[in-house]
Amino acid sequence: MSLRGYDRLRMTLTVAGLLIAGYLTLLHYDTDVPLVCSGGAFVNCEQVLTSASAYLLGVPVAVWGLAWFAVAFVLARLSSRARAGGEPAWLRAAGFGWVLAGTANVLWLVYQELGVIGKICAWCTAIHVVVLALLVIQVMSDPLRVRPAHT
Amino acid sequence: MAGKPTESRPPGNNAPERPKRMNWLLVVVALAVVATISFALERQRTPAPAPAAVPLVAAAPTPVPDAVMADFTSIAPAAWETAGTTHATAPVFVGTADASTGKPVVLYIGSLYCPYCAAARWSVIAALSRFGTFSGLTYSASSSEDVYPSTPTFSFYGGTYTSQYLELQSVELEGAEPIGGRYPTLETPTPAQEALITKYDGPPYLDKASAGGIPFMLIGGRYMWSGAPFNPGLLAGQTQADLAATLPTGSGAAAQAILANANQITAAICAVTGHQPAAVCSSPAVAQAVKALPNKVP
Repeated sequence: MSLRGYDRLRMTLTVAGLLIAGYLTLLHYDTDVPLVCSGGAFVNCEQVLTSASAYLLGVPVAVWGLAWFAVAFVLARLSSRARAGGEPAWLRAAGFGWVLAGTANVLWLVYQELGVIGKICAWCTAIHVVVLALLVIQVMSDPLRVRPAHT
Repeated sequence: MAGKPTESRPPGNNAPERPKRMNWLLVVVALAVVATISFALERQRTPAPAPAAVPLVAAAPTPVPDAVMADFTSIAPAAWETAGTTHATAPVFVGTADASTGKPVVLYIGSLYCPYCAAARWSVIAALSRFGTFSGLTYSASSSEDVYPSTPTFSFYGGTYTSQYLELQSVELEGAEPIGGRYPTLETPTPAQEALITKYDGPPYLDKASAGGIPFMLIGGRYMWSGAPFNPGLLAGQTQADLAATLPTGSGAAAQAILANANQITAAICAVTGHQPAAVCSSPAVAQAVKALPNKVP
């Protein structure tokens, strides 16, 4: 895939993440917003989203997710504007650092869902897949972002 | 691809190779995902150690200290006005006057395990503290196994309320934590209270899916609420004392939600007490909310 293709995919995924995180944030603050999700024995969004694990430092995880995707979107936008092979080192580092931080958080949340709550939330899982996909894109596209040394 | 604009590739005949450390990164992350899922599932399968001894009776509930109750009676007028009722849950007008000849009745039906009841009690206590005095309330929290686990609240069970303006009938149906898989029964509604629940806690006043829900509250036989007044998540992770301390000034989202709904309850009470006491019912936020109360049966 070309660098432009990777960048488009990256932007699309961050927008998808923003939309899902935005929906989960709305759910938290507006009880009139319907929760479109199974309420079954294993997939149970309500139980996950209202558990103690759904808060980090007193702030809903959905809000943190919204903020994370907003920053990820800005980084993706800046990357897409950089010339092929000429992405600044700081931007590459920021992209990697951000997506690795997101991945670490995904691992923690997956552990909370499966190990502590015993339920999973379909919307949260969708977000986790998006974050992991962003990591794969960051890795796959990295060689195209740096200008190789020539003799 | 021909015809499509693409960014210029770095010089060279071949696409640059991905450094090996990048491949390793993906492998490490994939292994971390698998390890996390395996560890989490294993933890879920491992039964929790049994408690050393199962108490035959629940631990005695902790009485609410006077200082915490004082937070409910020292709410600044400015805090009430700032909260208003814009973000409060309006009651449903059920259209009939209170059949009793005595003081207007505030009927509250809830359960200690219920997180929505846990949220509602904050506003009920704040509102009713404007008309009378609570005593004997105890600390409580919603079930740790339900949604919004362990929402901090108070229990009306065993408490009393005295007022020259109204009568509070509170019924805490069940306890906070299950014993033997079931929540223990605490109180049972009287036949008259049961009749009111049957009559009003469902269609045509509520949609069919919400029928029979708690908390259920009926003021003066005219104004009814069923369900959470606000999101119990606003109270998560805080102690009763810390939350109560925010009420006098109305600081924070939780205090605003509590006070806005307390203003709404206050307005309904004022409408059935003949706007007594005037000091409460004539405050701008309450007077405005009284005017906005519904007056048509759905």
